[in-house]
This record gives sequence, structure tokens and C-alpha cells, in this order.
Amino acid sequence: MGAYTPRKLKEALCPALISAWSEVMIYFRYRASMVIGLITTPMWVLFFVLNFNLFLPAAYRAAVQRSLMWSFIFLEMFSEAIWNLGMSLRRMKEMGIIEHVIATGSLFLTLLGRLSRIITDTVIYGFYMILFFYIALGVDISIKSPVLFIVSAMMALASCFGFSSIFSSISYGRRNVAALINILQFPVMIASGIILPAWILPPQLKIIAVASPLTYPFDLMRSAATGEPTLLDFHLEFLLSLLSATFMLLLSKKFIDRVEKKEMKGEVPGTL
Amino acid sequence: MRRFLLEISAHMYKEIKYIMRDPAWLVVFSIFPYVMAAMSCLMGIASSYISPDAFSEFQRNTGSSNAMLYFLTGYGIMFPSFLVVSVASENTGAEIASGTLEQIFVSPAKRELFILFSSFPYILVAMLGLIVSYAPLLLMGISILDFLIAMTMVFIGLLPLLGLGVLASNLTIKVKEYWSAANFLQAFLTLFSGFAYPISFLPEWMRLVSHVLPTSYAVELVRKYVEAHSISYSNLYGIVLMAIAYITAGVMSFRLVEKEGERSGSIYSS
Repeated sequence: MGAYTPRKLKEALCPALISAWSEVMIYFRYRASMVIGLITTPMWVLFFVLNFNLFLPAAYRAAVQRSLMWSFIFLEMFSEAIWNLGMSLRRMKEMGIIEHVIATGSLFLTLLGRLSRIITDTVIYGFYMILFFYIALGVDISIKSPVLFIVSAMMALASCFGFSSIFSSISYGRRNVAALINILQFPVMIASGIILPAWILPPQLKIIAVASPLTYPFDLMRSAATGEPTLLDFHLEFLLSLLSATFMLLLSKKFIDRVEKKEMKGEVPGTL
Repeated sequence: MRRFLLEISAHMYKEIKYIMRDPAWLVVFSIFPYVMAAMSCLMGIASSYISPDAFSEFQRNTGSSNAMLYFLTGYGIMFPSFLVVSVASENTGAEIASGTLEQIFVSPAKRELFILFSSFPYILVAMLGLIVSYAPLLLMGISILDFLIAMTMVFIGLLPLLGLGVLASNLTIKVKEYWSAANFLQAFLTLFSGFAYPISFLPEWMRLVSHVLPTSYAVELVRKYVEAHSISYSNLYGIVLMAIAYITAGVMSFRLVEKEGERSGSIYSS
């Protein structure tokens, strides 16, 4: 095994870079969908804001709306990850390109490159939502601790990647992946403090939240943005976020490599 | 007449066969209202950490003391509505993608019947999902007869959406990104129909918009019946009128799009 020169590193990362580029190109290909997304996002936001307002006297609404703004940005990140990455292996299989991807590069790096789309989408919709909440609802959009926010956002992204890739490698032999995602995504988001802050969940859900690897980076991100209390002690939560992001990345590599090995052996899933 | 019925049953049979390929969607449609209702109730629980009388506030705003039942009634209609408004576009989109739309168009089948009745089995599927979504009503002291009446009300409420679905499907033929129009309609219905809040809770301009949606009448109709056992006939007539208007508009606009598309050739371009 030779030393890792910059050229070799570039060659090794090539599948990820190609995948990143193509995903961004595909993302911007569907312009009508983008326009519709930008029109419908405020509608969904208003729906949830009104839903919350049913329970809240006017005096309390501003603080809740601030937290809700961040919830929507987290939801966008997780949702894009689970729909794009979670269905990726199944789609590759159905389109008959999984063999091509394995033959010309690495399945893991190709999936890793797809993060470009998730980042692009989260940044576009994130800024759009912040703008909407600021203009339409007068919400305070300042970020309490920007550095911690960026670090925890990276950890949240890694955890989302890990979770979605593991899901994709488990479910790629199934015909009803989209149905499974529909069933799974909201309970996961609720139990991981993505939709509502983990610290205000009922005790039974808090137990699940503590066990979910997604909870800590998102909780940290919310706390960095709004100054809300963290679920656990801050230092412990930071450590757990880091561990969970690393663990999810490593575990997802194991799972994706297993799919790659299966495909190379010709152990094709029965339902296509 | 026999030929007409045969044609309708052929379109419906084909779609039922597709549905039976993957019945997991039925499970999704049955579970989703529960997930959403639980989420809305969680918002209430979360709110009570901030304002202790959150659920009293809810009762003041909605007139309902049972939040779970309130949300379940609304969300039970929301998901079938989503299905009905999006299915015509999805069917047309799938036919365009697989190149079979041309086959249907060169066959002696009536095109309007294809566009309208290939969506119809999905209403029946949505109704099956709704039985599961509304099952708790039976445990809350509502008789089977009242349950069936509520189901019938939802069924009637879904009919105008068939027309809206066809209108969206016409955009599919023009725009090709078939999910766009349906996604817009779903968000529009969600915000203005009062699935999770009373229409009276909305600002004045939103209340005006909600008047053009059959779902806002259907939600109110069912809620009133479930909670007070009274039938709002004005809402019922409104829905029937909308069904006639929207389905007619859908079919007429389909004819226009089809005619223009055939003349310019855009109907067959991908």
C-alpha cells in the first residue's frame, strides 16, 4: 500500500465529487418543482404555526415561532436526506445502474457525494424560511452562537447521512420503500426532537429521544441558534453528538459495503 | 350504455390491479392521520410547558374538549383528499413516462373517461383507509349508523376533488413535472381547508379563499355531525354544486388541452 499523495486522494474521492456534481445538476433540472416548493413552503409553515396557535395565547407565540422556524429547517434537512439517500439504492437497482456505479467507483462515496444535494436544498430553503419568518411573522432570526451552530449542523448532516444510508441498505430489496419512508419519517422526527425541541417532549418520548442518535446534534443546533436549554449537560451533549455522528458514518459504511458485496456476489433482491 | 359501463369498469379494473400490487400504501393512508393527530396533540403538550392552560385555550378556539378526536376527524379527510387530487396527475405522468398515453389515445376509448375514472378506484382505497382512521369514533360512543353517515359525507366531499385532480392532470400534460401541480394543490388544501383548526380561526382573507374548497365544507360537515349530530345542509349542497362545477371544468379543460396539444404536438413530447 503506497502513501496517500494528493493525486491518489483526488482519484479516490472522484466518485464522491462526480456524484456531488451530478446531484446538484439534477436538483436544478426540475425548475417547476423548485418554484412550487418555494410557493408551498410558506403554506406548510403557516399551517403548523396556526396549529400551534390554537394552544397558545398571543403573548407566548413569538418564542414558539422562533423555535418552529428552526424546526422547519431541521425537517427540511432530514426529509431531503431520507427521501434522497433513503431511496437511492432502491432507485439505482430499479434503474439498473447499481452495477455500473460499483464497477466504476464506490457505492459509499457515491452516496456521500449526494450530500451536496441535501446541503444545497437545506441552504436554499433554510434562507427562504428564515426570510419568511422574519418578514411575515416578525420572528427574531439571530443565531446565538454561530460557530457552535455550524459545527452542530455538520454533525447533524453526518447523522442524517448515516441514518438514511443505513435505511437505504436495509430496505433496498423492498418494493415499498416510499411507503416505508412515509410511515417512518414523522415518528423519527418527533422522537428525535427535530419537529419539537427534545426538552419539551413528554417523559415517555424523552426516553426514546435520549436513545436516538439523531437527537443530540439537532438539539445542540437548536440550542446554538435560540439559546434554548439542551436536553443533557452541554459538554456531554457535544461529546455525544460527535460520537453519534462518527458512529453513524462508520455504521453506514459497513451497511453500504455489505450491499456492494452482495451485488458483486450476485445476491440480487427478489422484488424488482 | 353497456359499452360505456364496460369502458369505465376496464379503467377501474386496471387501476385496482395496480393498487393490489403494493397494498402497503393502504397502511400508510390508515396510519398517517394518527401520526399527524398525535403530532398536533404533541404541539398542545409542548405548549402546556409554556402556557399551563394550553388545552383550555384549544377548547376556547375550537369548541372541542377532545383534541385527539378533533384532529383525527380533520386529518382523516386530509389524506384521502391528497390522494384524490394527485392521482390523476400521477396516472397521466406514469402513462407519459412509459409511453402508453399514446396507446390509450389511439384506442377507441373515450379519453375523458380514462382521465376521470382511472382516479375513481383511489377514492375507494381512500375510503378503506378512512375506515381505519375513523375507527376510534366507534369507541367514543358513535353508533355504526352515524359512522356510516360520516363516511358517506367524506365520500361526497371527495367528489369535487376529482375535478380538481383532472385540472392538475391537465397541467401535467403541459408541464410534464407531474408532481408539481399536485404538490401545490395538497399544500393549498392543507392551509385553507381547516383540517387542523376551525375556519373561523383564520384571518378574513384566508376565510374567503377557503370558501372555494370543497374540503373546508366537508370537514365542517363531518365535524358538526360527529360532535353535534346535526347535518349542515348548506354545506352538503355546496359540495354537490362544487362536484358538478369542478368535474365539468376539469373535463372541459382536458378537452381544450388535448385539442391544443394534438394540434401543436406538445401532448406527445416528453
